[in-house]
Amino acid sequence: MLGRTANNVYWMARYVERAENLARLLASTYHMSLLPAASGNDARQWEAPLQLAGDRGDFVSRFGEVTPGSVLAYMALDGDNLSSIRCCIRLARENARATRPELTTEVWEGINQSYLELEAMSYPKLVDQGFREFFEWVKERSHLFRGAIYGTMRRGDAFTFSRLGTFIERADNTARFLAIKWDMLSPGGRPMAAEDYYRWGALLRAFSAFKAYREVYSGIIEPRRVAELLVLRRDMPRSLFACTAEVNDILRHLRENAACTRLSGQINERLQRNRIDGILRSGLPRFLNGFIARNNELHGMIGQEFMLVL
Amino acid sequence: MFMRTTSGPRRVDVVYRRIDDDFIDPLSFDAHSMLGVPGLLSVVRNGRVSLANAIGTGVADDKAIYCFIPDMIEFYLGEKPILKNVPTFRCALPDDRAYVVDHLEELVVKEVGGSGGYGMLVGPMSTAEQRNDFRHKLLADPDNFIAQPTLNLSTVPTLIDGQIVPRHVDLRPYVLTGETTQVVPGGLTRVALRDGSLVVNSSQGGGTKDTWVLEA
Repeated sequence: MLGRTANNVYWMARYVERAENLARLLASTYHMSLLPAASGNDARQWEAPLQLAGDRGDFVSRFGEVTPGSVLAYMALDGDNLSSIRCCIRLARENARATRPELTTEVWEGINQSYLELEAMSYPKLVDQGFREFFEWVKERSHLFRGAIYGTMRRGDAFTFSRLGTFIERADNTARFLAIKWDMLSPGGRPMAAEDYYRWGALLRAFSAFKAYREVYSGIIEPRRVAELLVLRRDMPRSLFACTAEVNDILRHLRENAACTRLSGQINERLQRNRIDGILRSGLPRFLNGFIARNNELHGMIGQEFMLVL
Repeated sequence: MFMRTTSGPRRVDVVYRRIDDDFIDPLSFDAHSMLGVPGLLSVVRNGRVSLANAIGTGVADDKAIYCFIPDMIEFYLGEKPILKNVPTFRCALPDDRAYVVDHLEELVVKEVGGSGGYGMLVGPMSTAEQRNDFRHKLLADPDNFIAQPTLNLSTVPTLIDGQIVPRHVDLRPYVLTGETTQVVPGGLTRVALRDGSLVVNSSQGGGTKDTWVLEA
């Protein structure tokens, strides 16, 4: 396959995954904002999406104050914010369009339909439809996209590189999301209050991990276990361990001895060796930022190895 | 010459090219070109890659060549053409030119190097002013124009703004010629979406229709 084409399907999958995770973060923030303000960090909550995927300077110059409505408008639909859900879907569709012959009709129609429906969406319509419903819609479109890829694509290069994009992006997003939320949610020295339970529950739900937490740990929600679930558990599909294991499997299948395959093996191995208490002792955000940097380095090496991106 | 693939560089022997000479190699031709392949010309010069179509070709793009097709068939094949040409006037010839200038309101006049439905006059749809402008352009550079009778294109029912209305279509069959000649069971049906328009080119907002082959 042409390196350029591989690059297109890889980014197509990355942008869809990014849109989904952004929807998850916004839905979770919105959900938490409906809880009574407890530890005075409610205004800060809406900073999180801007930190994750926005340009704060650009936001402030065009939207002014950080309010729930303005952040939602900026992150969901703003056409000039390249990280917005709208732009992610546009870019995903543009990458898909450039490599249309490599995709099945189901995959292309699905992504094109998402694009067309999103282009017809405006902020008043979004308010009318309801934020929760909108974010659910974004998630569903992403599920449909991955399902169509998994269920209809020949197991060739296009399939492989789109899966690679999905898991590189998901690993990045899970780490960023968790790094931002961790400090915001951590109770510090004070005892866990009732609101904390809901906040951590909302965080788990953002990763579709609430039920899994109940199954694995039962009992009350402890930050330490939340971190373990989302960083180290191999059976959690959005955990860093699971994403890096997928990436490593794909790369080993593609090219066993490449430098990028070695790096992905090391990244995965480090997660395998670590225990959550050790990670928490030196600070989870610090650990996650290190992970994000290495994951990004891996992305660059994949580009050099397979896509010959100059 | 190599292409970049996921399994490393791969040698390219033949390039099928569809972009103009000006744009195919920014190192040799238009330096501002974002298309093409830098350095392509030097590879071609060294005989390391074949271009189809070669640099400098394009004679068949000249619409005046169309007039000579029946002669070419006779010359190369010693046969009479099976399909007749649409009668075509070459404005380079004094008699043809005089006829065209007198009958602008019946004819379609095209620039010989034009494409995409640009730079043409559809006589029956034109205003007196447009014809007058075009007459001046034609007389200023007659070699640059040909003219043909306006064909009655078929119409098909087309959904426009929720209404079914007639729109003009044409059909491009695909004919593959090698050891044998085959008409591919299928084709490109182009439709002019503006009311009354005969310009079906996609570059002018034309669309496409499904093409049904009932028997092949």
